[in-house]
Amino acid sequence: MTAIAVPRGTVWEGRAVAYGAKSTTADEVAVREIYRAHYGMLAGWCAKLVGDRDLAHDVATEAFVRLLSHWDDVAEPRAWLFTTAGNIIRDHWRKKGREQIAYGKVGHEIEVAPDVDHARDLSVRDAVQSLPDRLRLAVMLHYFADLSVAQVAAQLGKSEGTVKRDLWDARQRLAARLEDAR
Amino acid sequence: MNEHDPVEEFFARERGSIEPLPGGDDRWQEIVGQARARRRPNRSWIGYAAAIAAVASLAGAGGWLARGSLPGNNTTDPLASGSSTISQTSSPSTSSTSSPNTQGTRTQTSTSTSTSTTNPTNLQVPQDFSLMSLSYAGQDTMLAIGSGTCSGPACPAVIKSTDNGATWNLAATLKGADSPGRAALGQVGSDRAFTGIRMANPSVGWIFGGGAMRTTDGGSHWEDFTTQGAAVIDLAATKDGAVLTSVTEGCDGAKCTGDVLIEKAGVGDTSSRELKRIEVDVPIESADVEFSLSGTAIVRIRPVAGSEGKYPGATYAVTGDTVTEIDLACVDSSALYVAASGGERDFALCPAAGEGVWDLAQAPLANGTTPAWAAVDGDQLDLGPGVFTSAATTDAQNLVAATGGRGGEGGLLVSHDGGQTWKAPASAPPLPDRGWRWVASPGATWFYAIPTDGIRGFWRSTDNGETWERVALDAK
Repeated sequence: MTAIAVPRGTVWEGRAVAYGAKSTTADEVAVREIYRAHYGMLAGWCAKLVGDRDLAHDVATEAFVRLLSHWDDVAEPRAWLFTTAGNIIRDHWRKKGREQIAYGKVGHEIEVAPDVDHARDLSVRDAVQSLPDRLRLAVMLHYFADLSVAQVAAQLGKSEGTVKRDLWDARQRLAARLEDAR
Repeated sequence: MNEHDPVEEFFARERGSIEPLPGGDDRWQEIVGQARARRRPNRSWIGYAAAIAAVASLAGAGGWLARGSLPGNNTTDPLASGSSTISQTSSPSTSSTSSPNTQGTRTQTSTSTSTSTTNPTNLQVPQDFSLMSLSYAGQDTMLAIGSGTCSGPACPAVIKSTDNGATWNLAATLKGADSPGRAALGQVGSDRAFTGIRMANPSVGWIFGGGAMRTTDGGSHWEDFTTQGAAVIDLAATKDGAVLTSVTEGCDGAKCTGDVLIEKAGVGDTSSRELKRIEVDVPIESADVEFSLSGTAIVRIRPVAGSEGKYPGATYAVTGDTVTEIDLACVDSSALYVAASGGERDFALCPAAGEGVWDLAQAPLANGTTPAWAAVDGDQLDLGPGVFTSAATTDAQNLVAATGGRGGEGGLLVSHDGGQTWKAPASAPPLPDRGWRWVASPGATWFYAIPTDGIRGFWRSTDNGETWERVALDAK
């Protein structure tokens, strides 16, 4: 909230793809290979978390659009894709939560998910959503996407110690729920 | 996997039951098309006659590179190679779609779909206009946004001066968006309200808050500008583009919630792209963005009071597309970063004992690495209590700091020795009812000070803060 000055020589790099270009670029060729290798699994992973195939395709598609836009900066495409998709899903859950609260405030009935019989059927979506928001992404990436602690830490910009602490915290909470499910 | 760990076993089972959902060539083409569209510069702008005339007029005057200098400083126009953006933390506005849905693939973006801009036929600045944010665009052009009246309810209004603030006219009103009005006392706004404005040059600029809009004709017309977050907290501009901060959930006038995104856009882009996502589990009260002379954007995230234990705040340097966390000089999370204006040093205001008392530190220009801060020996800066505290520099010696936000409180002090000593200006502006919302400098020896209530005007100094004159928002 102060004076802003005169940037000299700031370089705002253009992307490798020429604006309006119709031909396939090197970035697109490279990401196409990632798409062939990982899209199906990523979309399937999303479907388990959102419970809707169309929505899962939307999330996976958006993750690939962003990958193509950030290709120069991405070191680990698979980890990056799952992190991006996980963030989108997390935001989706938050939005749904806010909408439910808003509907509740104005007198609409809140649509409540049918009571899950956890003794027989605890889904991965139920499990992750039962956690505090701050723990969800680390759990999704480490346990469900099978990323290492180091990969999760790198993707989330946290230390490995912090990620391990979060996972430990989440494990305590989930263990209790799984115990109930037996 | 640890043996007999029920959690790991559960997720391994779930992982094994994932059914791949192939995408196919059509979906790949959709991905490529969307990615290309987001990178494409705005080609959809269709100028109206007035706008075309305005652009032609600017081009005829020499265009951006030959921008005129500030009065009284003909040799060293501080804006000669870039824009000066003067601003204030902003607020959210308009609608947002923050998650994917079955109707579309766009996710978590914010657009101002319900807002329309209107070119007023009455060009007088509304009598009840309350100034929120101001931006010097170069070529003697200034634009400001505030609260006006749109045929009834208050709404954001953009006003413009092409003679360095001597006279002002209404440029556009934004029906469908809310205005926080002069009651706004938070560092951030609320959803649907536009309260910030930044210009990259006399033609191109952004207004922002819950969403963002962009003009390419000097403020007469505004189009939706897509950001990746649900609400834009702050935006800083250079002649080449903008760096902004947004949050994934929204703001309520006092705080913002959700992850913080640092985004960037070129001056020709119709949307911004995410550079970094910062997970923040507590509400924040600000995420300021400022450019230093080195061209590095400094992002400062501050949590709401009482949340420092969970999240102490953080400072980032944005150089090119690289975002690096850096340290400020102060241990306390409520420090303020003061980017250099015409000088060669950045400053940090560190809270000291006593409400509204600050210690000053200085460092070489931020360039993406943590600066080597050194305490400024001398007086403490005693501004007194206030909701808003801001400071600005014209060079390494001349600073102005101000505070305000509550009735009967506020102050404005000036330093001419790099922050070693502070005093009241020789000809100080009278203290507004609720003090000062914000001070800033467009460069040269100029400072601006905006009262908290922003009622029809602001104050300007052209001599490094010693004497001040009121700038009324009168038409020609």
